[in-house]
Amino acid sequence: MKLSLILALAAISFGPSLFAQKNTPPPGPRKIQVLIITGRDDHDWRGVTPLMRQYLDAAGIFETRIAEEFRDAGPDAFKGYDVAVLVYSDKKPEDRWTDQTRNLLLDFVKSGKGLVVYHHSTTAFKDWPEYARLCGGNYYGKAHHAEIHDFTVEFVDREHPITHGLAKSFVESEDELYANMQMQPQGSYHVLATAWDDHSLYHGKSRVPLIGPGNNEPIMWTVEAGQGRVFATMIGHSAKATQSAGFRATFTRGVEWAATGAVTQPVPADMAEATN
Amino acid sequence: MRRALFVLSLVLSAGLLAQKTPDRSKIQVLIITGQDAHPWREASPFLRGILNETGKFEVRITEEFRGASLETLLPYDVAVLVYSDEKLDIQKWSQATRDALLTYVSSGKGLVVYHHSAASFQDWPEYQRLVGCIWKTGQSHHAPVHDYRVDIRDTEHPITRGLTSFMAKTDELYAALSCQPPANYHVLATGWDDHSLYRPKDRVTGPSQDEPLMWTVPYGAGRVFTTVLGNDMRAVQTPGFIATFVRGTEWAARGLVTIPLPPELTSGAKE
Repeated sequence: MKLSLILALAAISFGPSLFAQKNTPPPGPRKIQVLIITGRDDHDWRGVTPLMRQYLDAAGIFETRIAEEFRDAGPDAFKGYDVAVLVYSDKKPEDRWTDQTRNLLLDFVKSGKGLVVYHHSTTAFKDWPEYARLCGGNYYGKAHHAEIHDFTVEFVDREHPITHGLAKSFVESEDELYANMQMQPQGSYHVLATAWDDHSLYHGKSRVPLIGPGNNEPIMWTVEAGQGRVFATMIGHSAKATQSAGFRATFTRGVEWAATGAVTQPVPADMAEATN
Repeated sequence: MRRALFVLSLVLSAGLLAQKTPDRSKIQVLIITGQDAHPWREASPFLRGILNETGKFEVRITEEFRGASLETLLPYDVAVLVYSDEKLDIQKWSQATRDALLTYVSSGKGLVVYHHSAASFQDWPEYQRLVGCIWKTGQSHHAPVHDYRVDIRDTEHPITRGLTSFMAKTDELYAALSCQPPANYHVLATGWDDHSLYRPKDRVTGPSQDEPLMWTVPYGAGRVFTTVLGNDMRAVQTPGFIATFVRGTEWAARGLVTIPLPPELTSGAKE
C-alpha cells in the first residue's frame, strides 16, 4: 500500500518517462531507431532538433537520439539505427566530416537504411558529389529563395506512402521556399510536393534572372540509393516553421518511410482530406 | 511600427550572428549520454541549461558516442559523462573509443563523471582509475532516496572554496563504492550513510559511516571531477548540486573556478 502510494506520487511528479527508462526491456514491438545528426549549422538546430524528437515521440513508434558531435564518427555510431536525419551544414572548415564518416553515411543508407535530408542540410558538403546524388537536389550554386512568407505546398503524388491519405495541399506559414535548386538528373529523384515560387516576391533583387511570373518548385521528394531510401523536405526553416501541421505530418511519415519503406501512422485530423 | 520591426530584426540578426561565430572564450563542453537506466533525456538538457546560465560554457550533447575517437573529443575542453551501460544489454564502447577518452583526459583536458556514470564500464579497470571510485554492482548500495546533508571536506579547493554544507534533496547516497588507493583521489565532500534507513532486504550491516560524494582525480595532465549526487530531476535542482556541478565543470576544463557561489551557499551565510 505504502509502496504503491509512493509509486503513484512519483508517477504523477515525473510522468511516465522515468519509469519507461527504469523498466527494461520496454514493452511492445521494437521501435524505429532514429539518429538525428546535428550540432553544426547557422540555422537554429538547437531549437529545431528537440521539436523533431517531440514530433517523433508523439507518433509512438520511434526512439530518437540526437548527436550534436558527429564530425569524425566511426562505424559504431550507425549501429542499431534504422534512419538518420540530417540537420547539419558545414559552413566552416572545422564543420567538415572526415572521409571515413562520409563513407559510413553512404554505406549506411545504401545497405538498406533510411536518410532524411532536412531544409538547410541540402547546402552541406559541396565538395562531396555522392552526397549530392544522395540528396537528389541541393541548395547549391544558383539556388535562392524569396523572403520568408506563407505559401501553399501541393502534393503532386498522392499515392506514395508518405502522402497517401493526406489533404491535397497545406499552407506553410512564415517559411522559406527554396527555388532553383541544383537538381540531379530527372529520374533519379521522385517529387512528392511542389510550391509556387512567386517571382514578384523577390522585388527585383534576385541573384539570378527570373523567367516568367513564377515556377512550381520541388519541395519534397524521395531518392533511391542502393537498397536504401532518402526523403528530402525543404520546409521548416525555423523552429516555428516546423510546427505547422504539414511539416509535422510529412516529417514523421517521411522518417518512417525512409526507415522501413512503409508508413503505418494514421493521418492526423488536421491533415486529413476534406470529405466534402 | 516600422522602427520596432527594424529593431526586432537587428536583435534577431544579432542572435544569428552570435550563433555563427562560436565564442572561443567560452569553455567548450561535450555531454556524452544516450544510454542509462536513469533519466538522461531530462538530465542532459537540464545540465546544459545550468551551464548556459553561467555564461561561461558552450555545450553540445551527443546521444551516440559509440564510434567516437580522440578527434571527436579534442575540440572540447571538458567532457561530461551522463552515461552508464550498467545492466544494459547494449553495444559497448569499443576499445578505440575507451582509449580515446583516456588519452583525451591525460593530455590535459577535463572530465566530469555524474552520478550513475560511476557505475558504467565495470569491465574496464582503467576507467576505475580515471573516476577514482566506482559503483560496483553487487557491492555498492544506497538507501531509498532521502534528504541528507553534504559535508564539505575541503573548503580550499577551487570547486568548494567558501562553500558551506548543503542539503541534498530526495537523492540517493551512494555507499560502499569501490575506491582507488586514497592517494589517487581527493575527497571534496562526504555524506553520512545512515544504515537505519535501509530496508531489511538490502542486508546492509555494520555501523553507519561517511561516504565520499564528490572528489577529484588527477589523470596525467588532466583533471577529473566526480559527483555522485543528482539521481533524478528532483535531486539535480538543488542549489548545492547546481553550484558544485557548474564549478566542477569549469575546474575540470581549466583548473580554476571563476563562477561565484550563490550567497546562500557561502560559508558564514546566515542559516
